[in-house]
Amino acid sequence: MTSRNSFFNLLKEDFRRRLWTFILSSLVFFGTFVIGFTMCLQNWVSQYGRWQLTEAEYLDRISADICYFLGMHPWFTLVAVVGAVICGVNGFAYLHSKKQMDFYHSLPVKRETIFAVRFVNGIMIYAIPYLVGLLYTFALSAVFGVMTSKVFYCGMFCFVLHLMGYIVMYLVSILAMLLTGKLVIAFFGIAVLTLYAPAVYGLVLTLCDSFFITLYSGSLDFEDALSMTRWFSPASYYYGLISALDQAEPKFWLEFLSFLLLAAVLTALSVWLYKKRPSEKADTAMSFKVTEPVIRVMIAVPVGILAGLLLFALQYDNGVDGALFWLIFGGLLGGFLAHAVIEALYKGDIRKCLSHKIQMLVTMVVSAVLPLCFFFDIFGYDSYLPEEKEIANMAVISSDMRFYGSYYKEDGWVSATNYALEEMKVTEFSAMYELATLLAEDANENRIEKFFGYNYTYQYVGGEEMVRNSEFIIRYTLKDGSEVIRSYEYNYYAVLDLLERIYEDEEVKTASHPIFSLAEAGWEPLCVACYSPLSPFSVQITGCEPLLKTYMSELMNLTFEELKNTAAIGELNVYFKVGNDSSYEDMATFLVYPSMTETIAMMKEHGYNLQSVQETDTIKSITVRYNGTINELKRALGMEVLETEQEIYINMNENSASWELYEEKGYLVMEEDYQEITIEFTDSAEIEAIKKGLVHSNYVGEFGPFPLRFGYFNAEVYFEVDSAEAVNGLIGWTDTFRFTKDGVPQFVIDRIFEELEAGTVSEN
Amino acid sequence: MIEAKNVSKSFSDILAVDNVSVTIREGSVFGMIGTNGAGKSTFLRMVAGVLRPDNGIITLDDMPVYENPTAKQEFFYISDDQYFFANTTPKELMRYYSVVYPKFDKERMKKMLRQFELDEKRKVATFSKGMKKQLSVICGICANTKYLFCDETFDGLDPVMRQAVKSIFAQEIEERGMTPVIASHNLRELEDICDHVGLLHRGGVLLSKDLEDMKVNIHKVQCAFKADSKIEEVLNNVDVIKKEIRGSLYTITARGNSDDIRNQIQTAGPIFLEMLPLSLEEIFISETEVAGYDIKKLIF
Repeated sequence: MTSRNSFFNLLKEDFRRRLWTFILSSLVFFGTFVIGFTMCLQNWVSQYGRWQLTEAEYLDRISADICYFLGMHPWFTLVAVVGAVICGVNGFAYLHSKKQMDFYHSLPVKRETIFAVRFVNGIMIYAIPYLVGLLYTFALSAVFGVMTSKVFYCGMFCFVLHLMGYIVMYLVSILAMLLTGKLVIAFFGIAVLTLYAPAVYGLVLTLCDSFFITLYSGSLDFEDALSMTRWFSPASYYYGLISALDQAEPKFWLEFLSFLLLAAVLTALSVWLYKKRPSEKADTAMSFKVTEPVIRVMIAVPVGILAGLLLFALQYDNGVDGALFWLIFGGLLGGFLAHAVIEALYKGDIRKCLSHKIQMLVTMVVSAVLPLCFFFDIFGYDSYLPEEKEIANMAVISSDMRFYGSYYKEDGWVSATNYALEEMKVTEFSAMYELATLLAEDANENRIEKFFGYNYTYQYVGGEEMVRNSEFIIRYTLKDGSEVIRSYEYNYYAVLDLLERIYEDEEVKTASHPIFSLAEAGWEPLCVACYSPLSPFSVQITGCEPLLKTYMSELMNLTFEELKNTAAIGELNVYFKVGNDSSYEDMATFLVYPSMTETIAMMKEHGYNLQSVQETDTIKSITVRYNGTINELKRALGMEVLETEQEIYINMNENSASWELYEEKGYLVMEEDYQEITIEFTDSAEIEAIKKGLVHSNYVGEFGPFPLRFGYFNAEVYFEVDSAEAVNGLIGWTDTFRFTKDGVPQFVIDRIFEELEAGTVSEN
Repeated sequence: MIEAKNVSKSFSDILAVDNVSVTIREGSVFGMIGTNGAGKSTFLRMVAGVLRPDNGIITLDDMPVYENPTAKQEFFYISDDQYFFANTTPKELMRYYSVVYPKFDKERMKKMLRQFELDEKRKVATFSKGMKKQLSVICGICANTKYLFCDETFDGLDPVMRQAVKSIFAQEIEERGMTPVIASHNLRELEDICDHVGLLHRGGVLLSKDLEDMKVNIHKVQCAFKADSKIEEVLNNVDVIKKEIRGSLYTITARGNSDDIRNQIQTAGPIFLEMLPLSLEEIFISETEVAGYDIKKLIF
């Protein structure tokens, strides 16, 4: 048994052997604290000294900066990770040397003691210079009169956190050294142990994202991914620790306890492996034969899948057969190559790369088949529809009925879509469920077509009426508390009735417009800025509660029919306080519709005359643009296209998949010229006629809800005001507008066709 | 006493040591002979507790060796390619070993370093191969352990140094009963130092005997006869291992009592008869031939 005295003597001796790592660590922390911190502190003192701050504010700001420097700065994380790898590899490199194994393991010292000595020294090499540097920062802060309890607490807290992160990474490096017998393989081992879980999780997400057509992209959250894999990855564990810096104290203690558990498990595992590890494994690739196939398969299968995915992505445009072939081939090839490379590394001989042929075949087959399971959705992900009785509440968001902007919630900023998804908890959901059933059935029946985007091009075949594909996000909150979100693509026109039933529900209205939730949460609006894209200036209104109250009342009364047929004409930008921090403000945007007469009147009372484009008389010219082919426009307008049953005219810019689809269906594909038509209208009568059908581009498409529009033409409108009405000398400006669905005057269409007639048609 | 009972060790599918049973008595010099790959180093690494035997057990003074610091305090192991810390000096080694080996004699080490003209402050990395071997032996001697395991330690030493080391061994054996265990592929190196020799071949022990026992039973006779001598008839009564004839000169290696062999040959009326000393090599040739091996193929 090693006495305590002997243990410390061994520690001392081992420390001498590893002096260079200690010197390196000391230099890094010297540079960080003595040079870096001193310079920063000088800057902060000088900068804040010039500001008009109270003593408390001055100390508060400098303490915050010091705390950021001591903990949040990514440099400390980098030092801990790189330092842990260096110390782990350097401290246990003797495991990879036969000479050193003979030496150390013939000494009258127990293996646990050798391990403990090396392990403890590895921690000291990091901790001592860090602690000394930290004491220096405290001393220097005291000299500058900025040493507060917050600085002390923060410095020590960060020290403990980074030390924890370091120890975990250090143990992982030691594990990699124990499991391998060659340095190069050990580095691979460290990479695998550190990144494998997040990498595999990322691969699964990629598979889901690639093949599940109803996957809601908003749910692919990086932090969620990390939190799920943290117990399998020191990298994500460390990330979690650093995140804890922002958390309340109980969270830290939870982290601390979890660290103790993790460190204890890793240490016990390392000691156990150390004792089990045969000394003769120095200079062999892997220390334990039993791990060889496990690790090989664990690496080779994901590599094979990734290779298949890459080739699949490259050949995606070639349609289902071509892409599937490459998905399978890539999986087989990737699995084979990964198996061969790893086996060659294991054996240290390229000629042995084809060893374990059965395992190789299994790897290849799994690499090829697993992505197919996702492709053909054998898990039933896309056809998922819970029983109505299982659902507690639902939410439905359509890309054509969602609002824009970001809004502040308790835990940060969320998009209007996520805001609505979280707020909408409709318990009378029969219309929603009806829609969900329709969408799920459609997704299930047309999976492959939707996956390859055939639905988009197929809409014109046989002169079908125009289709407008919209995204529908559906959230089910089940009675067991779980949440399921699906995203579907479906023809918006086909479900207008259902959408109307859904929107007329007050719960949906309340959740769709964040102003209601903000008001309910007790926001404190400071002022409102009125804005219209027709005017280059805005008016700011303080004491805005009556205006907002009126606006909310009119918003609640806004019908689906009005939203469907009219676009917003302006907006109210409301500034309000966020949280308890008096210095932080948020701005939320709410749209004003022509039917909100009382709101518009109140805005006018405050000096802002909100007009629609139809009401304005400052338009000097309108330029209408069309980019497309003649037959494309004819189809869009429901006009007859001179196609026989065997002929189809398609845009040159269409992807090859649609060409193949038409050809498979027996069409003779005719290639059409893609044209860009631009016509300027300056006649006042024509302008009057055109402006009736215009809506501002800000309030359609991705930036606003509902209005049915004719998406093929753009209108660039030139406004000009008298010099007396000029704002900041500006008398003329151009803005982009869209047409409503039936809002394009016939003379505009005729002029466009006239220009298109000059276009050419050629056989493919 | 070191005792290995049915010890085996494999590396992957290579059987390095196969069911070896050997006893190494205290106070004698144990020589372990074998070709490269015979299993000497593997066996010695198991005895030193570096490797764990797959089968069997190795005890040192009735204590299992593997992972037993108490047993390990009783020996010092010099591997065939001894490890020295990077940038270390003999002085630093002395400090390290004195931490690890409780009975390490620093004064003695200083004295021996002077005797061998090794500078205690010079970097070991700058030493020649022979100097490193000397340093290893000095460390081993000064550790004051009961056993000293040397794997090919004499390889690389010049004859003078070899002799000096042998003298030190003899002195240590004499003064404190140290038991050196020496593994070598060279019989001639062990000839004048070993008391007991074990021959390893293909992982197994071909023979393990006291040198004296072997010498007592094997003799070499050089004699000359007239042409009509009945020597061939006489030799039928002698356990001849080897016979060389050059004209009338016979060189006979035979097993048995020395006087019996001489008396038998005398009956054939030799013109000249002389008993010659046997080298270790010749003894081994004889012994292994009995076991059905051609020693020249095994060792030389």
